[in-house]
Amino acid sequence: MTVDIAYLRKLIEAFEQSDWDEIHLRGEDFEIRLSTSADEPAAASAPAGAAAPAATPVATPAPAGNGSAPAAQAAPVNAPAATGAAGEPVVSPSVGIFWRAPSPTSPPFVDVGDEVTEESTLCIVEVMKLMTQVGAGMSGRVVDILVANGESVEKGQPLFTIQPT
Amino acid sequence: MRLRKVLIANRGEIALRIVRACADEDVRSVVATSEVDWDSLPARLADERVCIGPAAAAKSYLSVGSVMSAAIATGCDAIHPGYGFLSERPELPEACDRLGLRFVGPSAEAIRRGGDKVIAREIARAAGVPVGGDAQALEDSSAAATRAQELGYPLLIKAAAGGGGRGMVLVRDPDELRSSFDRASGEAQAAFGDGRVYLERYLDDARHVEVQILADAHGGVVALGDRDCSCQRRYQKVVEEAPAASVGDETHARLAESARSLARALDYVGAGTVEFLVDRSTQDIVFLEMNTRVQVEHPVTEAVTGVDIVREQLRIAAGERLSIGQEAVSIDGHAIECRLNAEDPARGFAPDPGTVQEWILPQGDGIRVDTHIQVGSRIPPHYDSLLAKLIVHGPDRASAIERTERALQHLRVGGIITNAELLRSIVRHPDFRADRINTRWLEQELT
Repeated sequence: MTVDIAYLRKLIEAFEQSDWDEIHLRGEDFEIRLSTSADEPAAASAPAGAAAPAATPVATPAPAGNGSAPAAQAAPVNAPAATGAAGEPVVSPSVGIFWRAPSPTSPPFVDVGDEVTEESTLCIVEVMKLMTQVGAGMSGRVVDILVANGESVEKGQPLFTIQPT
Repeated sequence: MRLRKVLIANRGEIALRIVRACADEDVRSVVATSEVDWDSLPARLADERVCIGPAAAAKSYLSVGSVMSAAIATGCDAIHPGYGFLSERPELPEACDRLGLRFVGPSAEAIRRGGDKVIAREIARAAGVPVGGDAQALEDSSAAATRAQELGYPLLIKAAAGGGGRGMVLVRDPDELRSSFDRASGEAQAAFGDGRVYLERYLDDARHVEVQILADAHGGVVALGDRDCSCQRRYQKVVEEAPAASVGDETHARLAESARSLARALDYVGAGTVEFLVDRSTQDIVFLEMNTRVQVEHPVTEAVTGVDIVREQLRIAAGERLSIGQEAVSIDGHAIECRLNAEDPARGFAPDPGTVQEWILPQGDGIRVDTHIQVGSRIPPHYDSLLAKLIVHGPDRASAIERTERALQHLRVGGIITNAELLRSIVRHPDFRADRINTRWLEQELT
């Protein structure tokens, strides 16, 4: 279906009279973006279907006794090539949504450069409304945060890099 | 005025349930989806679909602006919110009123008053419904101590804005009350932005019984019998039944009349549920709360009354009269609903998202499955863990249980971990079969 021009007019009118800041609708054969800012709206987050394969599960151990794929095992999958920051990874305990703060209005648990202890909470991974706090598990300094707030993560995906002390 | 086209602002099995009701009422359906739900069953089976935002519910299913925009852009004249998400937020009916759409549900005012526990209890008490405790928020811990002495222990401190078991503390004596009051109020403030708390009588050995209400804009208020939802874990219902077989005729009548009185006192229009606790030894009833939306467990009531609750919701929203009067409501046999969830009872009920590899559903007389799942479905981590509802109807409770047991044996799910084995254990258990359970039974006996 296509969008009726009368409906589109009504939508724009409703948008102008509202406090909605950005609207992005996609139908079978139309796409509508309305934004209060003059700039191009930020790119829509990728569909989770596309995001998942992109997230390389680097911390997944290679299958035991799999002698037929030495090349794959030899690949330096654990190197944080994209960031260059050296240190130990903290990985996601499960598939879920990565949250850097306990609530949308709270400050993040940690930032790059912060000192953490074994007991420090680094983030929350939310899965089906269940919130799991992820701890540092080591003392050190946060040198990199590898996932953006609110993004989907896979089990074993590195979330933080910590330089142990 | 008949509805032409309805935007369904929800996902999962309830979105598909509403798609079916729209088709039966000859109303076009549009499912609003997040990006991950674009190829979901409800989205594919609806007349139209529109993607309203990313997977995170805050930017899609919980965004009033996105939902309203989708309804306007697709030419809908009504919005059905389902359950959860925006269904009990007054902002959505308010936006509908402002922009000339119908909301399939009660007024913003009724949602506000029904959803505020303290206000709802005050209205209930004024309407002659037993509330078991206070209908007023407490000033401070010394006021609470004085009231508690009058009411008698044990008591629950509950948040006025709470629900689903959140913001609730059990206190058995004055010491516990003193040490818990400020913490309960503080937690309520943090969780709901509203620190008001009140005291409710705590029933140690009670059943959760609720009454399904339908009310139209012409003064028609019908109670469609009751449901027993005592089989629950952490206030999440797992197995529900209709009717509540353990209560006597007099109690059935008292529950129904109380629920109708409350609906009238609220000027309620739409489908709703009034929840009660029933003391197992005295049969005393205590009002718990009102849910101003369709419930997950509505199909057990449909099975025993033959009334299609979601179709009635659409009729009510169109300004039509209910298709049934109170005198015509009769209960036929017994129905049981089991909630199949993607969670692992062996790991503390941790949710288990993943991809469904095998999906075999039970069949046969009296068996209904409401689900959005198919082989290959990817269970996203963003939403709740409900996969399917198995609803089994039989001529009496014993035969409904036999049929449920067989249906659960025929259910095969692969690729993800579910609570199917727990459901089997429940319906096989002698306590469940003898109907001698209370609201704490499942946690104590099987988890």
